[in-house]
Amino acid sequence: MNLVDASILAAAIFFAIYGLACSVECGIALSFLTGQQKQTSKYFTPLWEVTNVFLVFGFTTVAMLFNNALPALSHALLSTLAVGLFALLIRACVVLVLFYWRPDHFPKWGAWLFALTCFTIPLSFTAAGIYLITGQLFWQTLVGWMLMLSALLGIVAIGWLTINDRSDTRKLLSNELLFAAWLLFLGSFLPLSILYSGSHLQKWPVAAIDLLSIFGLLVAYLATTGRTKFKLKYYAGLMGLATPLLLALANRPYLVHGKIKLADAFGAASYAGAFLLGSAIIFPLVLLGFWLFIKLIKQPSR
Amino acid sequence: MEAAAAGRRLIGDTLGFHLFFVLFGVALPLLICGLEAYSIWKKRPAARATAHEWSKALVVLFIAGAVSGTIVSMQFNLLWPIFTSLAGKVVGISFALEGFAFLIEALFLTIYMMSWKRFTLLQHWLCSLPIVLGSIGSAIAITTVNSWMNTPQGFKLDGHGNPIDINTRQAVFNPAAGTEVTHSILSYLFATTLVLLAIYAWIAWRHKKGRPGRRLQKMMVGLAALAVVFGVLVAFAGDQAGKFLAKNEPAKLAAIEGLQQTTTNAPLLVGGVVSGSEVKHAIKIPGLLSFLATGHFNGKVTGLNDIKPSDRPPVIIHYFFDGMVMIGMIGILIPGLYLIFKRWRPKWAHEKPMLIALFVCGFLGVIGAEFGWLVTEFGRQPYVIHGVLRTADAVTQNKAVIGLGETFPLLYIILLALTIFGLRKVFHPAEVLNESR
Repeated sequence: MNLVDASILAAAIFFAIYGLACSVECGIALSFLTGQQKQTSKYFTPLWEVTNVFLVFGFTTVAMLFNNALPALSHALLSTLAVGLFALLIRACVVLVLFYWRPDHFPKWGAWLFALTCFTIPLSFTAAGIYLITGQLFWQTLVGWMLMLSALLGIVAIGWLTINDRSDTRKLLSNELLFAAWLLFLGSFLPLSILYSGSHLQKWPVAAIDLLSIFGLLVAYLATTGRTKFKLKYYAGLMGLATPLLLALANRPYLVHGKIKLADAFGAASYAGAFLLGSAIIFPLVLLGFWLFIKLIKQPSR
Repeated sequence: MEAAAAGRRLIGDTLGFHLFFVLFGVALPLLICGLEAYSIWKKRPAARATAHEWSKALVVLFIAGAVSGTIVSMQFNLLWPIFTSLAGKVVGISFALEGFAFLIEALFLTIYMMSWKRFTLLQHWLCSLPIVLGSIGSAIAITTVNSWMNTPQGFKLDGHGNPIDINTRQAVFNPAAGTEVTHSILSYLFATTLVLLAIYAWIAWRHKKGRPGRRLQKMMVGLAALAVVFGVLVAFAGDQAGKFLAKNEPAKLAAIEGLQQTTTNAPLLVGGVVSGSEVKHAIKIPGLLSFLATGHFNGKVTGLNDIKPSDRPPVIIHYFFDGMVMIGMIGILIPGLYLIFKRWRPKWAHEKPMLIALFVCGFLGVIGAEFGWLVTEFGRQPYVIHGVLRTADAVTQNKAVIGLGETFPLLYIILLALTIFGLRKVFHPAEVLNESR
């Protein structure tokens, strides 16, 4: 792997982590809509906004390291990403209202607006990612639609699994069923659409998504039948991290499929190594921080 | 409105809005860290309670700041692709360092806030150090980018306008970096201290029974002393920045003073009305501009006549500069007066006029910092990277930006209002003072 590939993978990792954080927030938003806020209120804090740092980092990585492509990307994605930015601002406003106004009682409109913005943000960035993978806006191609639907299902699945630790078969949609639907989509419809559209995405990363999906279905089956205590949310999180990475690998050697090659877009040879080294050093620190954050949420205060 | 004009206006609005949070985001962690260290060292739980209260305010401000910072970062890339593409190649490492520092700050702020009652005193204080490091580090990193825009170096341009022979170290440690970083960070500390002092002055003003409590008075004296110290340091850094401008950015200095002709014994203009490229009806102090710019009353200062007409910045920055300097002087004078009264005329120190003056200083501090950045940005025009890339060539021509320019500012106002609302809900410094009496 060369510096260029490592750079695009670093960006994909940051976006994937941001996607996970967004998905958990979507889960919290869904819990408000379904009247389960008592279970999730301890996770609802304005401090979630600090996870935006991963978005900044992912975006900075693309913009700084692949700076030759910036004028073209900016022209193509301004409107798409502006939707996400609007949602980001509106969500911050809604969070401030919900958290500081009457934290014990969320008005229905607030919960709906929170959910709407929570979903809009990751989907807006997914749309930008789809542009990179297909070279076209998401509604213009079948693969684009499949990727968008798959992202939506993934966000719901990860969010729902995170806030509902235990499966409840009495629910309309059990955790396992939701997870299985996402994996079926990811493992069958998405690769089929890629094959059908004649896309030049590399085959082995798509096959890896297939394999991970099949394995995930097996895990979901074992969890449904009670043969394993392995929590699906961890597998869902892993899938949420792996899928953007594999799609970035499948898109090589392009940054924008069929239009801009990674090597042509790369314009940071003088400092990319230092940047990636810094990211590699800081990454364990971030994981440690998140681990500590989760521990602190669970630990009672003195 | 053209796309380019809309893009310029939008980034101006966004940066102006974001700066409000930057001030506190950079300065408050250092002040909180200092106060908490003092509370541990002197075993003063009341000081720790105050640090806790300030940290609640920091969180609310940080939330809005994180959102506006995300938007700033993305707008730079989306609205200024030509600029970011060029800057990314040369000083991209500074953008990346800012990201690293912000990451550390955000992470430890989360841990810091959740561990007030979970860690030991020392453990908790140690958590504040990475926040300080992150906040000041990110300010330094991003200000070096701005200073590079003022005094670009560390690269050459090829025939197609692409940077070659890039020397990142030379670019990052550009000539303006030292003065700009020092001046801006000190001014954030100055403005934040003035705002905190204003809050406590407001509490004292609202105090109904005679003189305010001992702890409130102590807090006000401490903050006033800090404000005077930071104010003097800002003035000193500003003086160095002025001398730097005279040597390296003469067009900016000439526009600030509306100086038409290159001359010795150049006068300093105070006040006046900007008319075209001239400042009329101003009070002229002979030789002072020469002295401030060169250290000699007969020093030569470059005038606008030696700058190509197409390269001249707008003289309107004279207003912003005068406003900034005036506010800086008031910001030193009023807290200084408060300290003098407190020592020799204690009754006067907590009279209504004094408290109102201190309260107003809080607002002025924020406005002063905004003026400072307006001088820097307008003073570099018509370039976005001085002498290299013109602003009109760097901004997007995508017409979609026209609609965005109208809607984003509205959301900024709503977010600002809700942030103030959030602050009112969680930030109760008066209660902390009463509880710890």
